[in-house]
Amino acid sequence: MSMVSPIDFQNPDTYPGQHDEEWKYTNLGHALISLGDDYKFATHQDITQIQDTQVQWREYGGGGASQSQETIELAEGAHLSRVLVFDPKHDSISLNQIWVSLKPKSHLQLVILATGSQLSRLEIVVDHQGEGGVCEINCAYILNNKSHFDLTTRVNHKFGHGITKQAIKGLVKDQALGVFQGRLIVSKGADGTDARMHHQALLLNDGAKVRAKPELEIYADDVACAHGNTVGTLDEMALFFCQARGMNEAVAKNLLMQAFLVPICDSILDEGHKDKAIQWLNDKTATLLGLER
Amino acid sequence: MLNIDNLHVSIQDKPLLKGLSLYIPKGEVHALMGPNGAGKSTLGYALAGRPHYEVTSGQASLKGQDLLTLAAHERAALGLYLSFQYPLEIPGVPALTFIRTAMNAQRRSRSESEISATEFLKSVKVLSKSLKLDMDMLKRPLNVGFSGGEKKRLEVLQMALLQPDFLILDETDSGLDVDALKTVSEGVNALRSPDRSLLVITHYQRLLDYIRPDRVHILVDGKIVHSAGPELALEVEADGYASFTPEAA
Repeated sequence: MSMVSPIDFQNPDTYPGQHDEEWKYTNLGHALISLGDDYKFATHQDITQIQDTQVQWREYGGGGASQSQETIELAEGAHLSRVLVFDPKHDSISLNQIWVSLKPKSHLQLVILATGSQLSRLEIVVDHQGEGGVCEINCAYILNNKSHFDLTTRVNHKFGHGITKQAIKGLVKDQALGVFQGRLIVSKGADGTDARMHHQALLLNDGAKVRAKPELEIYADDVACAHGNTVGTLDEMALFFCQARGMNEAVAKNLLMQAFLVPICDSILDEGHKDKAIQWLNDKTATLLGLER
Repeated sequence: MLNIDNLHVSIQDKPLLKGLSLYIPKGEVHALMGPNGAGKSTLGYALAGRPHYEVTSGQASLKGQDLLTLAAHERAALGLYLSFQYPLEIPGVPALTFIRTAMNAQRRSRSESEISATEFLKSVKVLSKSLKLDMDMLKRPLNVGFSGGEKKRLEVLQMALLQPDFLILDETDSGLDVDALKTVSEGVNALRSPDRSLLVITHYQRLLDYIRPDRVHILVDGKIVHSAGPELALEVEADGYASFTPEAA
């Protein structure tokens, strides 16, 4: 696995086209061209090496057009629990790529909290580079207005007895668009792999959209793999139950949205980070519903 | 207390209540009995303001206030409590969080101050003991994995905390064994007061042995066809609803 050259935002020849299967629902070129000539542009590259156990809280914000690339290497037996908050300015374009290598028995726990922007994409590629690695990627995305958020992940199981668990949940309102593309690839000989990926989204009105494409490619014989995808609306009966007990529509919806998203935070190792993440979700859903905090 | 006059309710243009009138004075307990599909649960849902239950004509008021113009949460704040036949399971919301959110929402609607966490927990502890509900269970998601008896006891706990003026119990006896029925009935009876009225919807006489009604009404095909004292429930138990159905006339 190696870091590829960043896309040159100022050179349209390097933009991915929509004929590229992984860019089908996210038109980067169109978004960049619509910015015109007068915008700030930033590229950031980073390498993170984890030898022991680390808990991290990272925030990606900012405006203009930016891209970041990070390589994370987890040594044998290392453990990284990271919360990633993507909350860029609504008119920004943000492209972020993370490559992770998991040495034997290492453990990655990513919890992603995202609001979209004009275009916001996070790509994560994880390679199990030894037996017994654990990869957990959970994400809650909360989108409104015309925002766009794209989470594209690829997890490669090349060795046996690795575990991957992905739970992606989204709330989409107004004319926003949520994209989830997830691929789990289990190579020949990677027996004993346990890989699961689930995406669930709630559309809060008619114009809201979700494009989801969870995929499994399995070339090994002895594996336990599953993927699932559901897109629906808030349960009307549960909503009425809350209202019949005295909650107005916004309070009832907020309670049900919290119930839907908060389990995403269960895997956060650091209790302080967990509380902060739950508070972040609280604030975002309340804002979505116009509730006073 | 509750006054319903010539109420017509439809769902997707299908009439379910066809001119129902009912008056329940303050402090009284009335039972509503009837065969399957008569419209018993429809009445509860229509009074509580469930979406898609369209009132096509008629009136319903509680404590002199028109119920039908109010949103569901405003009806609750006015003092109406509908105990669902099948209380909903809400994964991810601890039972205590649900109840406290509901209590404070009602208090805000009535411009009252919110209940403090300490005061709330104190009340819950006392009540959960008398209802044989484990406090640890109340920290679990609302009704998820609860037995039929636990769900109904949790309903009674909510009634006792929310202190509504008018209670509708929709087939509270369904899914209960004899012991659970007794505990739930004792909980409901403890809420009987000269200031509170109850409408008990049931198929069977059994529940009415424990929660004694002042009046019994028979609902058939969207209308109340007969009303009498508590002895009427015994007649139904012995003879069924056949004599009240249109074919019998």
